[in-house]
Amino acid sequence: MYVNNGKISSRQTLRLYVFDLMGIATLLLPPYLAKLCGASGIYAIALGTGAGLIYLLYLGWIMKKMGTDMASFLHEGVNVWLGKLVFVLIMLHSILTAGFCAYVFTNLMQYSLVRDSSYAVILLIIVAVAAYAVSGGIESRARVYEVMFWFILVPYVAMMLASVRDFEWVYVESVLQFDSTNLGKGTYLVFLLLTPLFFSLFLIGEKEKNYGRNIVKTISVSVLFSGVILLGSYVLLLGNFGAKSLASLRFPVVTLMSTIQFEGNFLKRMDALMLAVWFFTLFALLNLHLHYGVRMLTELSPKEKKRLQWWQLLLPTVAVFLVAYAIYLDRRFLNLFLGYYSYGAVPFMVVVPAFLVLVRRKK
Amino acid sequence: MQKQLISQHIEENEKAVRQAFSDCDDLKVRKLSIGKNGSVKGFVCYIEVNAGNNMVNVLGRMLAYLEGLSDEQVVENVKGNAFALSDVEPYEYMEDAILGVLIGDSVFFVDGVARALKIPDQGYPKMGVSKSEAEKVVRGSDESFTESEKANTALIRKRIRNTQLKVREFQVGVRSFTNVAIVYVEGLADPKLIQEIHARLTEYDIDGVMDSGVMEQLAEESWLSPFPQFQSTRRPDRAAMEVLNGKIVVLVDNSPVALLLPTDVNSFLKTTDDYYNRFHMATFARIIRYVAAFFALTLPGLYLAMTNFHTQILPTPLLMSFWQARQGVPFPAALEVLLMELSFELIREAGVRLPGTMGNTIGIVGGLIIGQAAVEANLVSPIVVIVVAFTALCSFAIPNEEFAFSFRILKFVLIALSAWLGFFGFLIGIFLVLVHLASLKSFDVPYLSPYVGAQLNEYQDEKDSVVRFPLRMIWKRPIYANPHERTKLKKKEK
Repeated sequence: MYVNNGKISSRQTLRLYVFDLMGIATLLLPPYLAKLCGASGIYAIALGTGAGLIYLLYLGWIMKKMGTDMASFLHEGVNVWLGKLVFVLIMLHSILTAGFCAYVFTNLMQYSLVRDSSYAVILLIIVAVAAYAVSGGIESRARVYEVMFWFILVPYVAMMLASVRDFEWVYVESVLQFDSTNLGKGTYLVFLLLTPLFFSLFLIGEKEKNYGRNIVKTISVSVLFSGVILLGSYVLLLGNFGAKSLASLRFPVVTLMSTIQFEGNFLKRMDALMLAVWFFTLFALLNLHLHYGVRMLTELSPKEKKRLQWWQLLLPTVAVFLVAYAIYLDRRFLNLFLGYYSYGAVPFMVVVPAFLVLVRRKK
Repeated sequence: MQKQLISQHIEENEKAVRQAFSDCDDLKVRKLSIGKNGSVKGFVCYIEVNAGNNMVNVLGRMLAYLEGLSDEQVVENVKGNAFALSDVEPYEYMEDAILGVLIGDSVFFVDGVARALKIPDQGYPKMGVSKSEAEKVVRGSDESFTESEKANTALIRKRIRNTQLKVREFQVGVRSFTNVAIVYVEGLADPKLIQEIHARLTEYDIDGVMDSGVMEQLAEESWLSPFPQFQSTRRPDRAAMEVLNGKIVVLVDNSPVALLLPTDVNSFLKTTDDYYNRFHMATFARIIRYVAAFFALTLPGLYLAMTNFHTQILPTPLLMSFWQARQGVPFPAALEVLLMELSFELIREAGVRLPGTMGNTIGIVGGLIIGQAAVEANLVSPIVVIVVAFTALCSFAIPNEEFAFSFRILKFVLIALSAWLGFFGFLIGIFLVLVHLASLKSFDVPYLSPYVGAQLNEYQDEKDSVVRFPLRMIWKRPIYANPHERTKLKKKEK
């Protein structure tokens, strides 16, 4: 009646995308941006967010041309083998990215919460829990984040605001000095973290003339919202640590949380509790990619059985675990992934949808 | 609307009554043959359990009076109400007669007479109706469901005097033939849901059904989940209120517990007096209950994570006092918490099984004396006693026992995860519970409603969630009600 129809509401889409985008961006981006652009990283965030919005408009145009969600389009709109190839490529991309997310997530948890525990065990738990979350389908995932939204966002914003008292203007005074090459790189970096927007092509909207209009409208609010959060976080981090220190920190936003001291004598430091923010946001991103890894495999499988089969869930999950563990064991795999993500993923996500529209089957 | 006059023809009257009470298995129509030759047809109709001694007496006297009369005399006597019985009053209109039945009277129709006779009865059942002990409220009715399904349907009908309140009865149990009734308001409940619950309740051949809990377990979709997917209540006012919201009530004979469906998390944390009290009070009570539910699940786990893994959260003096309190305790903190929690569950179980006053005694003996002795013997630290006691208090604040039980069970999972992995394990546990709740549904309604999918009902359901808006603002029925009948409150047009 109301559940398991593959659709999620606008509010769910908005909240889900905010979680997908803001978690890894606030966690990983600031030190890289600080290294590349310093205070002018602010512009990089603004420009990157703008690029994300343009990309979203482009995806909206693609949706309109397809007239349906991408999965249906790949089944019915293009050559069968081309459709299968694209499914495989998206599956590989999803698994690789999920593996990277799992790697970052495990690192963060081990570094901040369970230093004495084995990396493999933490990773295994994270990936297994993510698989369980994915087994409930997209609606189940969307519902979790619909409920958690304010519980995560309000404490985060409150903590960031609490850090204002240690803010030093001197650290952000160099905001007008920037190097255009580095600014370009910074912008690209911000845009890279907005690439989960690609999966909006798979969201099921109403079958209407302007297919995808509502989806694009909703997600653009998420992009703007995440951009503002990222911008605010970056300014505060910059004002608290300065560009040089910021560039050297592993997870500066977590460090910032640990420096905030509350008045009174109870719950003095909230950094451990505040890790819940990245716990849930990184799970959102990991789940997003694992979900699409599983979904692509399901799309490639014969359609006789409606329900998700155990192996369709297990194979991508194991693959994600192996990718994450490989990155952990050997830094070369990390460099390989970053190389792929920087130079392969973006062209794929930009070019392939347009190509598919161009080579669509004539009715 | 124009009222319909009672017909002279008994068949038309019977048809009208049966039509008005279609799908109302609690309505009884007893046909009679009256007069010297027994050739005058008549019938008496009433809600089943309402036929008390008064009705039998009055009807008996009437029939005795009519027994010796010819057909014409019977008709004349009924027309003129010549029984010299003060209890009997005539009805001219069918709607009044139907309302009379709904109020709890019996109504007597005779062929050839364009009126019906009301035989007043004692009204709705009082016999065996006891005070609600399990779901106490500060304000509101004290009545509780009984062990008779018939009486229970009558207790709902007492509150909703409408022929659209339907009671569909059937038997379950190949050897027990237990009566089961599905009660709903036609037009408000989703017809697909009525079919589905009927199908689920009759899906199994079972020897016997001794309580509604058996039907609940057999009809649940996610039967491995610790969370109940039916709401249970012992309160007729709760059942009646939910029926008016579009829910369906399942009553099982010999069980004082009614099942309500569909349900959601929010329903388990509501009480009937939330609606009887002003919205400030209701909202405050609800916030307290939500917080209590959270701590009933998380407090021991959170305590372990904070004291064993992330001591930096706590100020040093507090940490020192914890440490001092634990001096001499031979067990690790996790085992200490686990022992205390298990002891508490033991006390609770013993208290429930013992007869009334002894049950209370065991609570005092267990809670105070054993707890105190355990602290003095250095078996547990005082802080753990406080944590466990507070957790127990929180679980008692959850109004629904089955729902509270799921929190009590999952609390142990969180204890284990937190003891193993600290706050990370705690978060994993919370996330797992959330994911499970998000995937759970009760008859296709998301379990986390109205916090998810609220747009389907224009966000109106959120007005009756943690914050209970003023009653005049809660004008719409919840999502599970028939989409065409969602308005439940509107101002009368002047």
